[in-house]
Amino acid sequence: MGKGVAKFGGKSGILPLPRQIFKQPIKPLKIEHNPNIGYAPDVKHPRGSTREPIYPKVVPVEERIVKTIAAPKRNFTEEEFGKLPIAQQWKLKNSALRRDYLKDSYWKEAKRLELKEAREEEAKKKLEEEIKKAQQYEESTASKLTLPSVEQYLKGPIMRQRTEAETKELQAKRKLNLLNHELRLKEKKAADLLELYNASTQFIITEEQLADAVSKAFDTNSSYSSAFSTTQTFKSLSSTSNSRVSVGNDIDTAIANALLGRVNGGPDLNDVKDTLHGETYKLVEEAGKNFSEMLQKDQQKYEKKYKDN
Amino acid sequence: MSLVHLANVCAHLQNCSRVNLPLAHIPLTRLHLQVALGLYKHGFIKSIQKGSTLGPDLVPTEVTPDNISSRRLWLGLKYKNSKPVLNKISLVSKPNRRLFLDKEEIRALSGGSSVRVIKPLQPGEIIFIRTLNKDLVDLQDAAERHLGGEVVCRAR
Repeated sequence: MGKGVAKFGGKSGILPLPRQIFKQPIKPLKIEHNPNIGYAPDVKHPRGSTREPIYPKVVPVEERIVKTIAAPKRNFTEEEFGKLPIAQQWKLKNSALRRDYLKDSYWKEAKRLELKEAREEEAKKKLEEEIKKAQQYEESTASKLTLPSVEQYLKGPIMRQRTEAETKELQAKRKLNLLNHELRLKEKKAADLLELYNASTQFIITEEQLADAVSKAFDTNSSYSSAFSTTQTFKSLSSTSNSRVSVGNDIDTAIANALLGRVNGGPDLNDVKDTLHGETYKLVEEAGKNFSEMLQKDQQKYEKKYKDN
Repeated sequence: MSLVHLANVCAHLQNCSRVNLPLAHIPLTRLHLQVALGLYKHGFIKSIQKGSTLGPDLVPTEVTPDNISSRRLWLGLKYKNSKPVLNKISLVSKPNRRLFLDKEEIRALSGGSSVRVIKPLQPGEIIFIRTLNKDLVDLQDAAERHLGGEVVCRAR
C-alpha cells in the first residue's frame, strides 16, 4: 500500500472521505436473500458464530435525537435564569444552541440521504428503461430489404432432420448391410474349413505315411545311394517345384477344380450345401427315375420290334 | 469444437484473399453463416452462396443429415486496387482462453480502452460478439444494446 502520498497513488491533496453522521441505518434495510450465501441446511455453523448474518441495528432519527440530545434536567424560568451568574447563563445558552444545531443537522442529513436514495433509484430506473429500449432492437430498413433470406435462414434450423420413415429406412439398410457382412464372413469361414478338411486327406498322420513320403521324395531309382545322388535328387526336386511345369500343373488343377466344382480334390461348399438340404439326394433320385423310365421304354421298343419281326 | 472450426475458417479466408482468389468455400454451420453475414454487412466480402464441395448450388438443395458433410458456404472475396479488402481475420476467444465480457467491459472496449488482452478497435476494424442467446453482433451494436457475450473474432 505504501506510505504518505503513495497511499493515494502518488497524488497529494486528496482529502479523506467525510465521516458518516449516521453510523447505523436510519430506516429498515432492504435485504435480499441470497441463496449462495450462508450455511446449507445439513451443515453446522462454527461455535461462537451465528447461523444468520447480523445486520446493523436500525436507529431512527427521532430515537437518535432522544438518545444523544437529551433535554436539560432542570428547566429554569425566566426569573430564575436572570438570577444566575452571566457565565452560567452563557453556558446554558450555548448548550441550547448546540442542541438545536445538532438536531437540525440530523434532520438535514436524513433529508439528504433520502434525496440521494431517490436520485439513485431514479437513475437506476432510467438505466433499466434505456437497456430495455435498446434491447427491443429493430433492424434498419436497408438490411430488412436486402438480407431477408439469410436472416430468415438463420432463424430456423440449418439442417432438416430425418423423418420417421427415413430413419426406419436407414436402420433397415444398416441391418441388411450387417447381415450381408455376417453372411459373407460365415460363408468364407465355411469354405476355408471345407478346404482344410479336403486337404486333410493329404496330411501325414502315421509313421508309415511319413516314411513313405520321405522315401518317395528321395527316391533316385538307382541301386546305390550316395551323397552325390541324394544331392542331385534334391536339386532336381527343388528345380522342378520352381519350374513352369509345376505352375502349369497348379493351373491345370485349379481349372479342373473350378470346372468340376471341387476344392482340394473334395466337394466344394455348394455340393455340401445341396447335400445338407437334400438337393443332391433329390437330383440322384430323379436321375435314377428318369434312367429307369428310359430303360423301360427302350425295352418296350425292342420287344415290339422283336414281335413285329 | 466450433471455435476450432472457426479458427480454420479465419485462416482459410485470410489465405484465400492473400492469393487473390475470387471465391472461398467454408463448411456450413450456423456460426460460420453468422460470421459470413457479419462480414457481408460490413462490406468485407462480396457475396454469400449456399453450395456443396463441388461449387455453388445451381438449384436449391435441402440440407439433410445425408449431405450436411458436403454442404459449403461460398463467399465472394472483395478486392480494391488489386489489394484484398479482408486483410486479417483471427479468433479472439480461443478454446483454451475463452473471453466472455459483461456489458460494462463491452462498453469500455467500444469506448477505446483495452479490456484484458483485447486491444481496442482500430479504424476499419470489426469485432464480433456472440451473445448469450447465440446471436452474433458487432462490438458497437453490443455496446449500444447493453449486451455482454463472448468475443469471437476480429477482422480488418
